[in-house]
Amino acid sequence: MNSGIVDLISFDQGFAWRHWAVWYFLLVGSAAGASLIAFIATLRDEDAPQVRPALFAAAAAGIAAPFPLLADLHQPARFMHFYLSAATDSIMWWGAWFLPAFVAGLAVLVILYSPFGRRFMAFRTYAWYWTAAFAIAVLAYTAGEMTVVRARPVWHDALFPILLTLSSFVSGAGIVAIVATARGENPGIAPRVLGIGSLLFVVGVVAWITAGWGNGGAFTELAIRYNPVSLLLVMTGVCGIGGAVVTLAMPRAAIFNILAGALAVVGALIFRWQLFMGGQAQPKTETGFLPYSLFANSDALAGLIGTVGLLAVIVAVLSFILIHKDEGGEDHTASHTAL
Amino acid sequence: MKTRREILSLSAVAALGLAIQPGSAASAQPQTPPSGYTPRWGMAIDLRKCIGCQACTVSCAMENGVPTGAHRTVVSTYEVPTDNGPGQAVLPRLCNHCENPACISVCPVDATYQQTDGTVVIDAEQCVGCGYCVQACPYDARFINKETGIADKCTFCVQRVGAGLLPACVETCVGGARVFGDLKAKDSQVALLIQNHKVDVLRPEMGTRPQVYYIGLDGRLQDRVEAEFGARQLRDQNPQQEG
Repeated sequence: MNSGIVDLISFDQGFAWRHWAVWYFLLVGSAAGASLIAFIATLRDEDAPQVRPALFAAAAAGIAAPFPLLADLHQPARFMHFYLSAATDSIMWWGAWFLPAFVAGLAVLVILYSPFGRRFMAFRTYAWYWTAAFAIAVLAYTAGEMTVVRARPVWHDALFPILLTLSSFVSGAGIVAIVATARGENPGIAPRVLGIGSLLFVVGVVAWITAGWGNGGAFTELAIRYNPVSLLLVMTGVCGIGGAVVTLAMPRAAIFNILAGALAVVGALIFRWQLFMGGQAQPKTETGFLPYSLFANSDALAGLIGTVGLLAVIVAVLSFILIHKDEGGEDHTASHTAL
Repeated sequence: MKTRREILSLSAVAALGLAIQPGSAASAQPQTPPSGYTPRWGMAIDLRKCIGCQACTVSCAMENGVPTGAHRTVVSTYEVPTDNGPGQAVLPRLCNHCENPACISVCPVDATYQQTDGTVVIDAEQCVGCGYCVQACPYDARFINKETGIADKCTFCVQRVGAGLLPACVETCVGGARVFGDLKAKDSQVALLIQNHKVDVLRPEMGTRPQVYYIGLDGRLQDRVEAEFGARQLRDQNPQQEG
């Protein structure tokens, strides 16, 4: 760039989407990915050992997800307006219906897999199909609602929804691997999804940067010229490559499953941070970047603590519901360790 | 020798003459439309007349109670290279009240809509402050009002126009650069300006069909301006100086 133009008086509009959006997209994406992994396991056997931990992981993330979403609304008390409108042109409006349908499906499944739901086992299949369908709908709407925003070139890119969805599967597999390992259960296909997904994800990110090289690609500009994002991108790459190496090249051991799971979740979090916050840091009227602190931000730290605290409460409640003994004394979770 | 009474009478006639002078602000007042007729409000900005004084920025903020640090309109000012060395270019920015607005279709609660006169407005009671319209606007014309928690933007001073007045920015424009009126009326000042001059709109590639037209727009400012080191970078380097 060598235009010789200098902005003497310019203005910065504040970020409309705050860090809460990052948490929401991470949680709901992970929940959708984990629930689809669980759904695939149920196709063979609804009581397969890998189903319960995957459901646990999906439910924990899914039930927590609406809270940061509400927090990101600047008028959260008006959330009912979504349901009193018929804005069918808006993908976000559709999402307002898909999200509760998905979370309700997860909640119903939790009940069906608890001692209270034993007499309604016949409904499990329907509940799984419902939840899987709305998991796909949630993945489609979250990626779609951002991709249609033509004014944000980083989001309005064919690779954006692909990589966002792929990273949802990777982080979903990550939370399944963590939960299953912590409970001493079979993580099923989660490590394989995590490993292959991470590999594809890293290749996709490199392809995205390469595709925009020399032709003003918005993501490339963000990745190369905007220092906080450049650093975050390196961290995402480390997480992606690390996750792939740990799951595909290391022996199957609990510690490696936990490590790979953590790398997957952190990588997906950082990826969303750079896309959402970095994307908004690109002004629409001028080139360059808006001043924004990606790291030393007390609000973001409060969001992290709040989200983790919320997750801890939900995990505790789910542990109480999903880890149980039958009245007859049969221990369904004898080998499990509560989280 | 004239008496005091005669002098006063002459002054009154002179004042009246000034008030009805063709091309003055008064003559550009939106006329009360005949019954059943709906105007299409729009604006032409003659950049040759804009001096970058920011009177429009201030009057807009005063009229509409815009919080500190936010703007419904602002005059972006640039140093641009010219054949004779560095020159100054100004670009008043505001909502373009597009014919095909990107902000309306994304709104999940139908809070933002277009009136029959083309003005894009926000229902303050309906908006949930999701910020989706802020993302969708290609002109950075929208923001979340930190005091109300809802989306905010230029409304062409709908409250003033409804009362037969001009938008505050037009009223206070020192150079008469901003001209507001009915784009459908062929004899309106704004329509004549657009008809008789080469006009441009901002970011036409976005397909939004803006209804704010610029006369004398430097092509380098039409899309995202390739700004090098300037005010924004200074703000970035000295964040403690921010309001």
